[in-house]
Amino acid sequence: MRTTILTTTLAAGLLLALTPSAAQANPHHSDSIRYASIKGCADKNGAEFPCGPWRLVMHSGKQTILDDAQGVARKKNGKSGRYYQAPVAVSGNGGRIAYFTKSGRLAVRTVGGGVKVFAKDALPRVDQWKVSFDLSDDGAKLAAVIENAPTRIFDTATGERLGTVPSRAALMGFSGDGDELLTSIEAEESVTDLVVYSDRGRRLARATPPQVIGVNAPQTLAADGRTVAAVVTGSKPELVTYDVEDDRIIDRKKIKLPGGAVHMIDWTGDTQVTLHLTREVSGSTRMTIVQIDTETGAVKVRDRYTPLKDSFVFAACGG
Amino acid sequence: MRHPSLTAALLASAVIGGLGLTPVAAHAQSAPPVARAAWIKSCKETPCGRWQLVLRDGTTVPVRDAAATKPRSEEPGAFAISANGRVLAYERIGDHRVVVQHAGGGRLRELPKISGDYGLTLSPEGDKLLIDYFDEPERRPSKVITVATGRTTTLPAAETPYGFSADGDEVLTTRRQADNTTAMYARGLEGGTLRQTPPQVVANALTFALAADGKTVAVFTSGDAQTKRPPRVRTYDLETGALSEAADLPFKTEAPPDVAVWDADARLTVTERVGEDGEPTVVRVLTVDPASGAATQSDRYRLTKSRYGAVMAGE
Repeated sequence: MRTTILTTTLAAGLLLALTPSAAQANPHHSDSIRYASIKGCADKNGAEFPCGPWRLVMHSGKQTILDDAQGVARKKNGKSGRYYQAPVAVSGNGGRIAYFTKSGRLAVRTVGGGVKVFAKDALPRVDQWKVSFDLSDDGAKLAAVIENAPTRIFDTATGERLGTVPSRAALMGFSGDGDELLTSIEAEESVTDLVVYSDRGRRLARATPPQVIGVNAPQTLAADGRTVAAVVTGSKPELVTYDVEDDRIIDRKKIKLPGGAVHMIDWTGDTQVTLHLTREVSGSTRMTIVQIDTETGAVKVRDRYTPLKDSFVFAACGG
Repeated sequence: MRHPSLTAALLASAVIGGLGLTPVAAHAQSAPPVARAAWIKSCKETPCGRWQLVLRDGTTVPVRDAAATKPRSEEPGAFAISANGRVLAYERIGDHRVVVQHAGGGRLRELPKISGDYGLTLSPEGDKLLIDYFDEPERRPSKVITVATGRTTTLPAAETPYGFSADGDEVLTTRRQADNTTAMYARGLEGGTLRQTPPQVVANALTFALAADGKTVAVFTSGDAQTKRPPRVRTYDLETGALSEAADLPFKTEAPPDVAVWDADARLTVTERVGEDGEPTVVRVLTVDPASGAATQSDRYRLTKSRYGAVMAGE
């Protein structure tokens, strides 16, 4: 294990600090978002609901408030959704975050930079919890998944809508370079297909992958728009790569993984897949982030943390 | 209801004596009786009364000593009919031992009492009996008993059996592997096993039938009621991993058949049941060509809506 993280309980705020050496080991994460969290409160019946603003926990350990973001979701008519949080998404590199502003507009903020507020009609008028966001690794593109409506893909610099993807294609994420999207479709006869779309919404490839790819969801798409990676966890962990254009397994590599279930999987380099693994330890979630070299199968721990214990829900950076 | 006199005689004595204890009546019939199905009545949503055997000649006779329920349970007692309709296996009233006998009576074997929850499946000819324990996680291995000799073969505990090959020489099983995929096995009872990790469409199917060659599996997938697409059949080769093109089945429902058995002519006998337990139900038995999906009806019968549950021959 190269990276050692000192977890220190500070106070009721419960912030976990990264040792300086660990922060320096990841220069591109040194001033970026590790995750966003919204607090959970309980009503008199013990039912939990989100409360307060979205909080950003940085890789440096610093904690800030996303002031202009909607915390608790609003209904279509503007009233409080109470039991739902408004959606956010953090880019893989931790440099950008997508959210609803307090006036209900779609926005993407760059850490240490400005904010792009999208046009009023960028998204249809729906209850905010029926929308979820996904940013590409570099944050240059945003996908807004809307319940029972096509997924909209945007350029986050200009706010321009690039294209749409059919709603029945369940979004799994952008390709490594953000130019394509990987989706899955429940097809006939109980099979699950993988379908690749361009950021303009053009269908590029569709295949019914072999079981080892199909059952080990989520999968992730490389920058080439055709190489899919999936990870088998458990007693015999493996990294499996698959060519969705040729419908062919490329490689199966035995790897050594720390414990946990796959929370996120992303291509973060030409030969690198990054995994977010979560496990529940005495009532709290422990996150371990590892980088897998797709050529050698070598696994390196990039980060470990425990999200704020008072979190109702959190959104980790992907990469 | 009209009966030919001989059948009426069988019915009358069966009502009095029950099957298995009326060899005279059974012998009085020209051909040995063939069972289509058996059902058990529902009383306040629990199984009650006697198992009723639905015979090919249109009559229904009670099986006097078959247990309605498992011990201290509201689950129906185990009951199975061979695909050819000639052999029954069931849980006996009182001591809950499993007995195997001819559909027309005549005891073939009694097995020791089996504890816990389990299911019974007979080979198509009724010469072998599979006992599958429903424990979770799977610790008790399934067993195959040769009825004539009592010889027992134990299957690996991690495998889930789906039934016998057409000639009863193999058992088709599946197993969850370390990589979360499902492997499929044709396990020869005299040794020799074929194994493949099949494609999704095979692994996710619900009804299978292993041919007498011990390697060809008929695979039935669900249709879609919304798009009015019928269920489909394919064949999958456990030796080579080759999968055939799909053929549509001329079914009225989206569900795949509950039962499928290969016959000697490379065709399949499939049983389609239209109607849930508690509803009037029509059962159709079809002979299907798996290459084209072409089917001809070989039998059709009804099951009463007053049943708690039913088992069909080969199920």
